[in-house]
Amino acid sequence: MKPKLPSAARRPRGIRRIARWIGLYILVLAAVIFAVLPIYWMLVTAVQRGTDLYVWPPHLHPNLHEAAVFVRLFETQPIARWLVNSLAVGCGAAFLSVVLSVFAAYSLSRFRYRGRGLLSFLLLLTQMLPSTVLIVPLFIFFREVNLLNTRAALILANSAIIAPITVWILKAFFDTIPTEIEEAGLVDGCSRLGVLRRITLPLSAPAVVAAFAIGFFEAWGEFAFALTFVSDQSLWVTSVGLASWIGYLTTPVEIMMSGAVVFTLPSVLFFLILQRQLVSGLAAGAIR
Amino acid sequence: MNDLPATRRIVLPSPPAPDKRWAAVLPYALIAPMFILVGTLVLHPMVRGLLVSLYGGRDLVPKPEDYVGLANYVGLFHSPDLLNALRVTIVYTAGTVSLSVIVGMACALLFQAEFPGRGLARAALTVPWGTPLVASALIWYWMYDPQYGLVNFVLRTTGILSVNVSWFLSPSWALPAVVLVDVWRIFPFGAIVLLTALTAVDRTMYDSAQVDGAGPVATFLHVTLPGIRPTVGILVLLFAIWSLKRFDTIWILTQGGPVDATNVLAVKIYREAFRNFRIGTAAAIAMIGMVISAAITIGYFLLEHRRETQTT
Repeated sequence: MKPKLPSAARRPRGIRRIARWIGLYILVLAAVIFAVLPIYWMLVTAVQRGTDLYVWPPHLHPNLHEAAVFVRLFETQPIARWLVNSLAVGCGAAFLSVVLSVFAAYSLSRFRYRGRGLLSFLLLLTQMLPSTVLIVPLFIFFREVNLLNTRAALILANSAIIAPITVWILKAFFDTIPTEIEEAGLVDGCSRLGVLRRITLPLSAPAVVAAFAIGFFEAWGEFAFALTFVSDQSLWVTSVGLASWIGYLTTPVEIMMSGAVVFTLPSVLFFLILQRQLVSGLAAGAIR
Repeated sequence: MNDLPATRRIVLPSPPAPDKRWAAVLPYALIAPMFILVGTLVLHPMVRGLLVSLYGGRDLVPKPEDYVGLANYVGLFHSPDLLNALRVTIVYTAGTVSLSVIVGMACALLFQAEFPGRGLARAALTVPWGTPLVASALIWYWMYDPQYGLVNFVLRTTGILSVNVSWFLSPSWALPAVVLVDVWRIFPFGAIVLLTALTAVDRTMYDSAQVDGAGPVATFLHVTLPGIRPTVGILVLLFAIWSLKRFDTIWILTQGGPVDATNVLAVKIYREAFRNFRIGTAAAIAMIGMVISAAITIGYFLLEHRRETQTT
């Protein structure tokens, strides 16, 4: 791609050219600062002496002597337990939704049948629903089946929300696998399910991993269900635990921000490592 | 899409004569577990929600004598509360969507240029998108702190404000403040989607625009914008749906206050159900929210359909 600067119509003279580059960089810098500043501020605040936070003007640089805040975080707050709960809920929900999605996506990708359009519409519709719409009836339902205050309730509720997303990711990938490969398997005497297991699934390993990870981080960050269906503090997930600090106002700000760092880091790292494939893949999926 | 002619995909050679009936059932059998899950936990609650919305009382399991018919809906439409919630939801959604699309578009146009550091800048843009909502709520809560917050500091030092603002205590500032949090989170997605769309615009169109002596604004309006219009449309719908869903950040930052200034539908449902214990009313509001989301979803499908027929 050639440099495509605004109005490259007339050939710019040296100075105009430089001015244009400077302008471009200033605007790019503004966008980058807007995107990254809150994250920088989270890090700076976490690594700061408590008393230094309540000063004007604020300290703009991290104070690296205060890195022990993370030790204090784990000592004074039950965040280790919250993280374990989040991990359990995230893995459970991602696993359940990916397993079901593999079959559902294969069905949507490889067969044409009555009701297929309606089924995929229903799946998409569930993705559009605000989850607060479901909260009241789901609360009633989980109470009836004695699942309130269990991680199982969160795994189930999250997987139902994630599943439509993972189906779409997997279907998009299955669509790219030529049917000729499967036909060869069928000719060799494999059953349809055997083809899925021995041919399609191994070929789709990257998509399966991506779907699992996306589902995992979706559940990792989920808040509304976790807030409503679990009241027992020992079962809290990280999102609910962190949010509870704001209500009580007794948690020091530097602890609050160090908790946010621990909660954010895995998710941001994942997005950074896979940003190209992930964002463009998701974008394509969302637009498709 | 059902009445496609039989393509290679369907008619596969079936050598060891598998059971014909099984073959017909197989696609349904494969998708059934998914629908048991989604049916139990999404579709069934939708119906349950409709039923609950017809009952008064404060019990989670409505008693038959509490049946009130449409009274919850009638009450809602006569109360200023619902109108306020709808108004706030519309302002929140419109503000978030328009700002995110505009900022995202500006970034996409900038990032079209090849410049040293472009990859790094692009990576920086994905950071807000990877931040969990609750963490971003915590961060912005501290950034908006009335006394020691960075937002006040920046606005004061640049001279835009002369005194500190208590963002979440001010009925006029609270809504813009939560809108900004959402814009921060979703504009990178818009930027990257639009950048992808921009690279697909026909290069030769730009050349002919140049030949015709079109300036940058005219080129944007007559070449770029028509080329990416379908993407912009779908992005707008997607952002609108996300904004309607948004609960986490608003609940944590303002709980719908002050004086209901940020009481969007999603927050109002939660407040009615789990603070005021008016389960029937909450369910009725949820139904209204569902109708709005469904309307937008249908709009999304219609647009997608139109796009498909345009491109093929």
